[in-house]
Amino acid sequence: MNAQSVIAHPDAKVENLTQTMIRSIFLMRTTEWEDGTQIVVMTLEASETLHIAFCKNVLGLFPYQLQQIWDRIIFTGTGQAPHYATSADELKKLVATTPGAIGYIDREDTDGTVRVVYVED
Amino acid sequence: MLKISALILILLVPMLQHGYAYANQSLLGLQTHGFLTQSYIKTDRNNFFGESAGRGSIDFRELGINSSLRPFSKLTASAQLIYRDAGASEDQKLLLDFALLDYRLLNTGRFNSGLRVGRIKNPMGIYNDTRDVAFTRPGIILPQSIYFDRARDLALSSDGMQSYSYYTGDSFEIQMQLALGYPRVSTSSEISLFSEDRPGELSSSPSYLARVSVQLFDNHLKLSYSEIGMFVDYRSTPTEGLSNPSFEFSPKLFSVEFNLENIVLTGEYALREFTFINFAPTPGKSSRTGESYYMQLAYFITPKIKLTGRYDVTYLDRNDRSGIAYEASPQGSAPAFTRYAKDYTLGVQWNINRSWLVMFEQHKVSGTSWLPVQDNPDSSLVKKDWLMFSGLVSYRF
Repeated sequence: MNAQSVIAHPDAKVENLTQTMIRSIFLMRTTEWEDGTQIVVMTLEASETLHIAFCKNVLGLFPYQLQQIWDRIIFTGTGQAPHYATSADELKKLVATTPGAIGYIDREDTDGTVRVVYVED
Repeated sequence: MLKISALILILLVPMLQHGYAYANQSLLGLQTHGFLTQSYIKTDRNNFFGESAGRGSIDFRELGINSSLRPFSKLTASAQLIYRDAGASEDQKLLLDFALLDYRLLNTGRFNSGLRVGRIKNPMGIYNDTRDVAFTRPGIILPQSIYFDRARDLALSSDGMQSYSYYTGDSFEIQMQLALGYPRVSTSSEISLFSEDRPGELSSSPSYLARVSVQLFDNHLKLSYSEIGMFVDYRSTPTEGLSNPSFEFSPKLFSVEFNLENIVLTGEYALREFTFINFAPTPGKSSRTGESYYMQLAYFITPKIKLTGRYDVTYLDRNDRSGIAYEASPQGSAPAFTRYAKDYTLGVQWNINRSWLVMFEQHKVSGTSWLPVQDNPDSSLVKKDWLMFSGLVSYRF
């Protein structure tokens, strides 16, 4: 398994994100970028290898914990669900074309269509 | 009025979303989610959620639909309707579960906070605020010691306001919610408080709720403390001869969760203080403190299949755990075993995919403190030791 990169929409006014900031975004604690743009979280299904690795290595959570956090947000009306992509390729395209979007992909797959904001050590 | 507008919102949103798909969603920030759950319950004796003691009961179903809108990044509006059947104890089947506006005051990454106004779910312990969503439960029924279903209405949601804040550190997160509002009351809350439907009416007074949680990411540990101060007046009728009777419920709850890749250890401990004021012909207070706890171990055989074992204990009065003093007392109208319950549960949960869930579980219970009174109208038939098997299928979107 290669290391993961966290990617954002190319217009995102952000250079680098800390692991803490990424956690805050994926746990839906932070919902907007510094310039006020709404953050749109993109994810793969919980069973995808890339998702499992991202949860454990970048967020420091097991996938079932992240799922529980999202479910509680959705079913208490205190926030919104992430958007699901069916493949890493689709996820990259969604991030590239959705203003405010953030997601994660294999480091090898990053290209100029998205902005890399974090690379796992 | 609130109910009608929520209903319209909930019905309209899927229609709007249909065909617009993603583009519309990012424009208006509309989302719709829901669930449908059907359970089967079979007991060897004593009824739980319907006439479960005979051929078994299918009178336990839970349906919910919610919509949320995010017109701009700081504001979220959301509402959820729930239809719930649970044997004879559910007297208000369709209800507006929450309907709220959430405004973000701070959105800085490390420190995030905001305010919610409307009907808000009560964030108590680990499971309370999503207790009707099978996908968020550790089993078919929640540990009844703490999430007892027989006085659930009081626990569901409150009409008022709530402040929330998150502080995200490098290896931890602190979460705090503070709510002020009016809890919801109904006939079933009356029955569970007084063991009967009295001629007067319950009416809630301003109450508070607070929950603080700390999650330690490196240690895979989450600790929470919840406290409620719930105040309910009883509008008695002249024939009852009571002067300004009221009731206070102030539970304190400690929760611990420990997570490993394949193992989840969960424990909660609650002290539940009930105070009845002016409920006797001579004015005065009487109070008792209930004690509840459970320990739960879940093991993932595969990421989709989980086995869960739980030991769950309830005492209605921690100064009389066996109930013997109650049975011997002049007001003791029921056997000692109605004052406690010890429940051993074994369950299996299969998350087929993100949309489908199947669960089975077996309970071995001694005592009936959380057995719904409404499902067992003839108290002389209630037995101390009983077994319960249940199965559940749930779909979500």
